[in-house]
Amino acid sequence: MKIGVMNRRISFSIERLVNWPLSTKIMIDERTEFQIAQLADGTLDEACRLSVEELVASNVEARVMFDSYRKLDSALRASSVPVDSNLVSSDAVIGHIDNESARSIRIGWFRAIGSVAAAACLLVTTSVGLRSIWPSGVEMQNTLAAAPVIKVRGPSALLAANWQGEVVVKVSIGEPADLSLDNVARLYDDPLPSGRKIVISGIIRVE
Amino acid sequence: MDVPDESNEITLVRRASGGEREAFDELVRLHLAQATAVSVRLLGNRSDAAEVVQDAFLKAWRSLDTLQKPEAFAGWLMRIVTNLSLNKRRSRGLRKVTSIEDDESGTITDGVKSQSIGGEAIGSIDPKRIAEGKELGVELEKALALLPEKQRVAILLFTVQGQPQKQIAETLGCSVEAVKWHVFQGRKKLKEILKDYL
Repeated sequence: MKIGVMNRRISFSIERLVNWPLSTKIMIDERTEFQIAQLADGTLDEACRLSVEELVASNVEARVMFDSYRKLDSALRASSVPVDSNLVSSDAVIGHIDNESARSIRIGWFRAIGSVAAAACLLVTTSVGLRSIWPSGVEMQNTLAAAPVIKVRGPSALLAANWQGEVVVKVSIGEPADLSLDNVARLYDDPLPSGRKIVISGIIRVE
Repeated sequence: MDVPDESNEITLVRRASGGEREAFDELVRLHLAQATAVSVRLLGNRSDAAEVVQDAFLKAWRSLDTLQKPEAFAGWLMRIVTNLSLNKRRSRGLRKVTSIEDDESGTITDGVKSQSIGGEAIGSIDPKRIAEGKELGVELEKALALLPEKQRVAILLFTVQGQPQKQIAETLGCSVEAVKWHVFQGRKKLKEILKDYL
């Protein structure tokens, strides 16, 4: 009795296995899962669509997988954020672009003016620096070299009518170093209107 | 979501590239909604997203002359939005999950989560399933944050925002096939993480 029941159960199981479609017995590899996922989101190629649809229709595992992808996609789409028109308006974006563009122009101006000012400062600083380190003797030579020629008229010696000796007339700026007071007659003049007195000396040297 | 007419958009891009501001303003109006939605999703923070979107359009205006193919404007713009959003996210050290529900305007979030669950209208399902749907939404946010960046961005742009794969390829700087693979790998991981809810 017990053996008979067992035999019937075994034969029933074998019958079920034999009658199952072949597709229910295959393992679903990653490539097939990729196709099932594409079928779920509607991006599967037409060439593959029919075979994958048949697989989903006939295979329980494939159908469960297909349903889970559909549910996942629905949940993802449900999480889509509706656009809040108050969040950022096109006017705000356009205004932002306008403001930033104007700011860039202002910054450009400031940069240009700043560059010119910096260059001028550098030039002045360099000039002052060079003048301060320049040797003073050279500066004097340059100054003298650059000074205009001054024509001095006179002094002339007033001589006695019977004078027979040589007459030398020297002109110097400031006190002449080789003055000999005994035989010098001085003539003074002040040709410049400044407070600095320039003495033009006419020296009469008697040999 | 507005889908701009392609030929009109190409004309606008060409005019804007020539320095015509009105044309660029029109492009702003056409793409603002999508750019905002993408940035909000990537950042999970509305005020940051608003800032990023403004900066993205400014950057697009300034570098429009570097765009070689006018027809690729949408993908190029989304690339700017995506990169700025991800940079912002990185600068904030946002590795933690940022649920939309953490945001100050939670009322919108509730509306989002309860709009539809499993494709069914809200009126046809019972409160228990609404609660389950909200819970799934929260878990989904957490799971998305665990994905590698390219997979997350690909899913957000394709599955959530519904952008064309070609445009996403331009955004991510990869092929359409790579986009498909990123989307699949990301969904596969999400399915595994959320197996108790699906």
